[in-house]
Amino acid sequence: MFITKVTIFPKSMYLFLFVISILNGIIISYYINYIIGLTTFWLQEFWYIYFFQVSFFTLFGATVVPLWFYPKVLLQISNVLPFKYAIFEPVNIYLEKISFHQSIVVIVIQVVWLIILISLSSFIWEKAKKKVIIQGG
Amino acid sequence: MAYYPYFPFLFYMGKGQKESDYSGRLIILLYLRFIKLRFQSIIEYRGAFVAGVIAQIFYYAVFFSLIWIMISHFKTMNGWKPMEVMFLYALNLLSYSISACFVFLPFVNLPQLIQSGEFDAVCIKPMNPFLFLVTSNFNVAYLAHFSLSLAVMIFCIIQLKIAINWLTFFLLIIFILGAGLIQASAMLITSIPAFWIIQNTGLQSVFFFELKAFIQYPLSLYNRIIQIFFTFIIPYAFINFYPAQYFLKKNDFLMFHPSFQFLTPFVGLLLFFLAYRFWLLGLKNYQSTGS
Repeated sequence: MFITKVTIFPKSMYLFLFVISILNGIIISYYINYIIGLTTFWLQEFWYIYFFQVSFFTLFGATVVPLWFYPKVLLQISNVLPFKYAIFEPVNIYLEKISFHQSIVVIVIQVVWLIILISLSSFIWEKAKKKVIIQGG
Repeated sequence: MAYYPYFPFLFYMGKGQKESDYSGRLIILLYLRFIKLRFQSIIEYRGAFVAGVIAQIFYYAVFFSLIWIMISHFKTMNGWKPMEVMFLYALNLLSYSISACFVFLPFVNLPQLIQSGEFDAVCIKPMNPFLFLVTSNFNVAYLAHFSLSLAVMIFCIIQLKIAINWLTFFLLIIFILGAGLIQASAMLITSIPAFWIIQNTGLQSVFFFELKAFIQYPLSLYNRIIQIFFTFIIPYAFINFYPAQYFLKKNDFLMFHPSFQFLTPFVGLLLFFLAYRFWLLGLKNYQSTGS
C-alpha cells in the first residue's frame, strides 16, 4: 500500500557500495554493543545490556520505523548518533533511496564513526582493566 | 513430595491435607521473608539494579514512542487514534508487569532448574512447590514497567477524557487483574512442557513473547482467522482489546457478542485453573535429570 517501488536487486554500483557500508555497519554495531557491554566492569551484572542495545537501535537506528516518519527533534538526534549507520543507511543504499554521492558520504561518515568508536572503546578498556573485581568464585 | 491439587482456590484444603503445612498466615509471612531476601540480594548489586531499571523504562518508552510516531504519521489506524492505541499497550504492559513480578523468574527459569537438577530441591521443601517457586522468586525489577505503564495509562485516561467513577475504577482494576492472570497462565503453560522436553525457550519465546506483538495494535486490523485465533485459541485479545472497548466506548466487537468486553476476569480465572492443572500434570511426570 505504502511501498511504490521495491528494488529487488540494485544496480551493480549500488550493490558494491551496499556491501562496503553493511560491513562497516556490522563493525559499528559490534563496537556499540561492546562499549555497552564494557559497563559490566563497573556494575557487575549484564542482564540490562539487552534492553539498552535493543532500545538504542530501534529508536535511533530506525530498525522498526523508518527515519522519515520521525518528528523533527528525534530526527536531528538520530542524525548525530552512530546507530542509524549500522542498518538504516546501508538499507537506504541498497534500495537506491539516496544518490551515489550521498552514498559515498555515508561510507565516509561510517569510517569516521568507526575511528571514534574504536578509540572510545580502547579508552574505556584501559580504564576497565584497572577496575577488575575478582568475585570469590 | 506433597500433592496440592486445590491451591488456586484460596487455600482450600483437600482431603488428607494437614492444616499445619498449609496455613495461609504462614505462607504470607514466608512470602514477606523471601521478598526481604530478594531485596538484600539486589542491594548487593545496586548499580546494576539501577542500570536495569533505567534500561527497562527506556526500552518500553521507546516502544510507546514508536507507536506514537507511526500512528501520528497515519493519523488513525482503522478508526483508532494514537492515544487509544497507547491505552491498549499500557493495559498490556501493566497487566504483564503485575503477573511477571510473580511468575517471570520461576517459570522462565524452570527449564534451567529442571536441567540442572535444582528442581529436586524445590520438591523436597515442606510446602506446595508451586507456591515455593513463586514466593522465592519475586522480581522487584518489574516495578519499572509497572510505574511506566501506570503513568502512560493515567496520561491516556486524562487525554481521552475517560470518566473515572467508582464503577469504572473497580472494573479497570478487575480487568487488569484478569489480564494479569491470562498473562501469568500463558507464561506457565508455555514453560511447563519443560517437564517432558527439558528445553523449551523457543516455545516460550514464540507463543508468549512474539505472539503478544499482535495485541500491540487493535485486533480489528487483522483478518478474521487471526481475530478468531486470538479470541478462542490463544485468548490474548482479552488482555487489552476487549476490555479497552468498554473504556474507550468503542463498538469493535468483530463478529462477537458485546458481552465479550466483560469476560476478561473469567477467562483469566479459567486459564489459570487450566494452567495449574497442567502444572500438576507436569509435576507428576517430573523425572530428575540426575545431573
